[in-house]
Amino acid sequence: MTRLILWAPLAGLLALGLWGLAAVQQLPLADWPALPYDAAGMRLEQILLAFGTMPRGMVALLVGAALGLAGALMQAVLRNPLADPTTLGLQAGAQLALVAATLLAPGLLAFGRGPVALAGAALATGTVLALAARRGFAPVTVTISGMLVGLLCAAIATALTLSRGEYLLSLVIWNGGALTQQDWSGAAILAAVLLPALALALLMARPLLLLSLGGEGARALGLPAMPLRLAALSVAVVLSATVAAEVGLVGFVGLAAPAIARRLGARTIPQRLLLATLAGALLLSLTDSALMLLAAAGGPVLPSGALTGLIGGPLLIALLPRLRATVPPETEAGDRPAPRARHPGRVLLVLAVLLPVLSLATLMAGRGPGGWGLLDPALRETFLPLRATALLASLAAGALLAGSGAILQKLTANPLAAPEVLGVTGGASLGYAAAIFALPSPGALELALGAGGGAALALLALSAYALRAEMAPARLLLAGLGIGALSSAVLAAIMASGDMRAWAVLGWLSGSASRATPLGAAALTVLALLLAAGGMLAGRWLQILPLGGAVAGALGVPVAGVRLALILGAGLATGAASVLVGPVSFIGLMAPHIARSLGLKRPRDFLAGAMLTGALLMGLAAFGARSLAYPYDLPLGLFATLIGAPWLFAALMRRT
Amino acid sequence: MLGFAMTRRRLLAAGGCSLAASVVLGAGRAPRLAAIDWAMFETAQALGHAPVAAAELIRLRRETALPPAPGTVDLGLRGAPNLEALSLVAPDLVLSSNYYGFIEAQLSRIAPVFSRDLFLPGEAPLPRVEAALTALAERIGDPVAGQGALAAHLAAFEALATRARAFANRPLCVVEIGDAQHVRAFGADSLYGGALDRLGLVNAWREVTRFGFNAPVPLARLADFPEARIVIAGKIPVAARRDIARGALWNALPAVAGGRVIQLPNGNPFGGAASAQRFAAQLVAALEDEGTA
Amino acid sequence: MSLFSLQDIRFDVPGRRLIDGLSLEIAAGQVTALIGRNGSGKSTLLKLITGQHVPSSGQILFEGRPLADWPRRDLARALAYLPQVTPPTEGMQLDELVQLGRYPWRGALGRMRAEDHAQISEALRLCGVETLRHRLVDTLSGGERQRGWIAMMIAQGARTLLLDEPISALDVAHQVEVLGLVRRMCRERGLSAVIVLHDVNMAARFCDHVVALGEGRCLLDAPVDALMTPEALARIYGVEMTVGASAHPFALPL
Repeated sequence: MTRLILWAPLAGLLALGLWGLAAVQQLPLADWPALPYDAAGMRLEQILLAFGTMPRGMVALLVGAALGLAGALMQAVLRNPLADPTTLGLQAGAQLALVAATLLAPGLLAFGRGPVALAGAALATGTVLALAARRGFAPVTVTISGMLVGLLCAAIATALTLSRGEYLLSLVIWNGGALTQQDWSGAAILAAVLLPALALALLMARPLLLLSLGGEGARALGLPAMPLRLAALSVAVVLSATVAAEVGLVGFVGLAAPAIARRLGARTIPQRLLLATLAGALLLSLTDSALMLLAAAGGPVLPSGALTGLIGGPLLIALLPRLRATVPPETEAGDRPAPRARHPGRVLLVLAVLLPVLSLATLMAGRGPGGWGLLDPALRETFLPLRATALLASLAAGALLAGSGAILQKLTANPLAAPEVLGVTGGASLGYAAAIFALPSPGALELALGAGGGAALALLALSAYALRAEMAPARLLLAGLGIGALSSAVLAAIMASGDMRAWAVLGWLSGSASRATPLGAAALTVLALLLAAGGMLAGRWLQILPLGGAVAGALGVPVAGVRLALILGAGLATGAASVLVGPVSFIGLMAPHIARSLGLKRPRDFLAGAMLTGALLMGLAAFGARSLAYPYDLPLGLFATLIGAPWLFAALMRRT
Repeated sequence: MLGFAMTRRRLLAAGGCSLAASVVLGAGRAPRLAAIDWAMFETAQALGHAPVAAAELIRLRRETALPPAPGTVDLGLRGAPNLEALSLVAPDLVLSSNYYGFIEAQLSRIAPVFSRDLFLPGEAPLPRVEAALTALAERIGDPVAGQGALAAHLAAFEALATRARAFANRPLCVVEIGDAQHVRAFGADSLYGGALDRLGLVNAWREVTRFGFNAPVPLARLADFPEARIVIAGKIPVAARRDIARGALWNALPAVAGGRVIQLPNGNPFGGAASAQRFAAQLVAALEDEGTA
Repeated sequence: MSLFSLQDIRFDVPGRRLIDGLSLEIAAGQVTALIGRNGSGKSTLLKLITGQHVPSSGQILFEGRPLADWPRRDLARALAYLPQVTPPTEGMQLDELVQLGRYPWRGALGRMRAEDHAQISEALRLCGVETLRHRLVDTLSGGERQRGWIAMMIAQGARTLLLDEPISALDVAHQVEVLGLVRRMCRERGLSAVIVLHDVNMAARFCDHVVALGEGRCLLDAPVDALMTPEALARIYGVEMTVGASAHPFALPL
């Protein structure tokens, strides 16, 4: 706590100073209006300060505080250092509700965005908790469920947007976490929600401490666990929904603020709640003031929400070495191993037979101007090459992502590891963006190499850092989330530049299988086959490595070299696949999960099953993406999420 | 090997196709046009050669100045057009622009592509979309239509400019409202900015246009132009209406306080010459209305 | 020739010296216990002699050859290691775990031959777990699982077994079972073992030799009988203990 006494006032002064600098640049202190502010008697510059910059500074503090408190509450209730409004799908739920209301029932929004956002956030949280309750609120399960619900919401929102012929994100982005204000109403609403929420949270502090003993321990001390959990989570939901309604998506603060609080030595629950609130407020305030100064100095105007990732991501990674992996293994007791298939060969055979069946079906059937139907023989000449190219590319991309996920899961002995979760696709995004910016007119090969290189670099950075810690799951996930947040912040900044290159990034985000060229499809297929062959050859390594570096080393495995080779392979596979699919698909997480729940446990069976499942999922996704909203081609990666996530939900619900 | 074989067949098919197209285009039969880009769609419409297919038809119908003919086929998203739908309409020529350069390879596998750089940061687009009128007309073998359309367009603008002369006293700031705090401002490198220029009106916004949809400008920037009229191009989103109406900053803007705000219906800021002309006509009419009121 | 020969070993982590000038000979063909208080450096020492840690200064010889000069594969054939906490083995059957012991002999791609399968069966039999060979490792009891891991070490064909607190999570029956197994392996097959242990009585009962560490230095290096005196125990643990004898000597804190 001594560090705290040193740091908190320092950070507070810095935040105030930075904001003051931005404000004084706008209007010299001597000209500042006197209280109380009344627009009628002020000059325009004074109004800009008193109803623009001042409420903005206040909103930054309040939003940061609200997210920090929401994150701290969720982490205390779920005993999960990874819980926050973003990872639990809350913000995505609120956004989906806002998008749906804008498109389908704009009248609802006339009463303000708050109620709609709240309904969406509550629904998303309810879904996550329903899934989590079946598994005893095990942290990893809660995190998976939350991320899946978040992805599903984002996928539905995008599909809704695109199927109505609107441009991707165009609805959401106007409100992409920019804190600009033009009066005090936003600050008033946020304060009216935050202050009672903070009081409620502090009232709940002692019961929450009991809850940290676990549900049974709390019950033994006479505390009803369920109502308390619900009450605390409701407070967090209201907080995040209010933020989503007022300023849009501001990622990462809810995750970073409690981590900073812990790092500063907050030990008891009241300390954590208060410090996380404070840390969140200062974090966002610093970010926003820095952005104001940047804009005043002629720099780009960036939304703060996009930038919290830019600062929060690396900050979190920097904090990680000091953060103990706080997920005790026994809390995952609800996670009983799935049965192992007695005849894995037969399971694989079924998958392998399904693949050509599905391929043939999607080649011959589909939707055209006349509705659903089989391909007209007269059109075969034109359509079959088009469809075959797209199908081949999708199958290969699915297999590549799934194979890379399976390898990463074995490498880290972490069922949550996936190229998407570990920031590998985030790295691929950065590499893709770098290729777009560095080269005058990058071709498919340059883009693939850029994305692949970015993916491998992200993986290397991640593993260089995590290998020392034997890849402790919680730590690795946090680092991955950090890279992911960083890359989405960079992508957002590129989009905000508003020039041609933004369109290329946009085109990638809404990636479609029909974009594949025959050569690209062939290259992806060769890569997928190489990955499969390499994986089979590395089967024994994949069996030994999950046992940890010590055991693997003692058995004579050249651990560092093998890890490096596998990481590079997985990185390149992910990069190549994401050129086609775009950065979001979660096939790399879902396919290995499905393979595992089919009882494929031995590394070679597991890898083969995951790759086949990934190919099947992506093949189905490509079919659905081109048919469902014909003639609108939905983004392939988002459609893959739409298909795979419910399957994974079912798997999560079943295994109790 | 599979990939190679398919590529070769494609190349042969594409070669045959373009050969056929040039023959047809030269022979004077009405060419079948498919428009990916909306400005190009309007260009073709203005020439009297209505495209048989266009991308994002649902929204295009709402926004374009020259509505598509009934029976026009929807091609899906502009950024990811449905190649099957495109090949079904068997176009002689696909109309595209620099925005869709990254899918040009796929498009040209189906039919020859006619693409022009229309909107570039820092460059006036109006001359470019006007040049597209004659260029496309020549490409489809109907240069007379091109000259006619361009002359009509220039004449219409000239008439509007005469009427607009009365309002050249104040600069105009053309914006699109995003939410209660953000706007998109149209500079000289936008279609609307070009229209102002052609009308002899002064554009208050001196910076480049931020074409990306998520590069909005804070509302407070409008305070930089105390003299200007504010022109809101397009309807204000439902969710923003109430907050805009009672926002302290909005109401304190000199233009708002002085009643110098003009509201125009939805338009197509990335359209062709026709959209520029429609915007100009609506603007001049609204200015005259205000003047008489 | 001694099994391990440590010459003036130092091992530092940032801000702390964990091993401070340790010189030690560990003899072959016997069971050596490594004891000491928490933080005395015994697990560090074990990691040093497995090659997982590289000493900051000094040299470690294994079978007369510097540890760093051993090719990885040869070292794995000679030296087997059991970590303090055995990692979860998701979805792995016991026979598959034991088969991993053949990795140093067959590598990543080599086919398992009849002799490998014979070794695996022999290891399963020796450790008394052949009836469990098709069970999932994660579903075994603590004692069964430890015996399974020891079977993997046996299948590895190593002459030297290094075990880091192999009995810390087991009940007393399983403790006796596991240490008895290690001791029997050494006796019957001429292996050597170095075991990090917390329980002095278990060390006294099952080991031949004892090395006690305190603050990174050697406090005692003697046959096990020398351990069971109140003076030695007080020096190692800093606690007054009384030593009694029934069939074997035992020590209790006062």
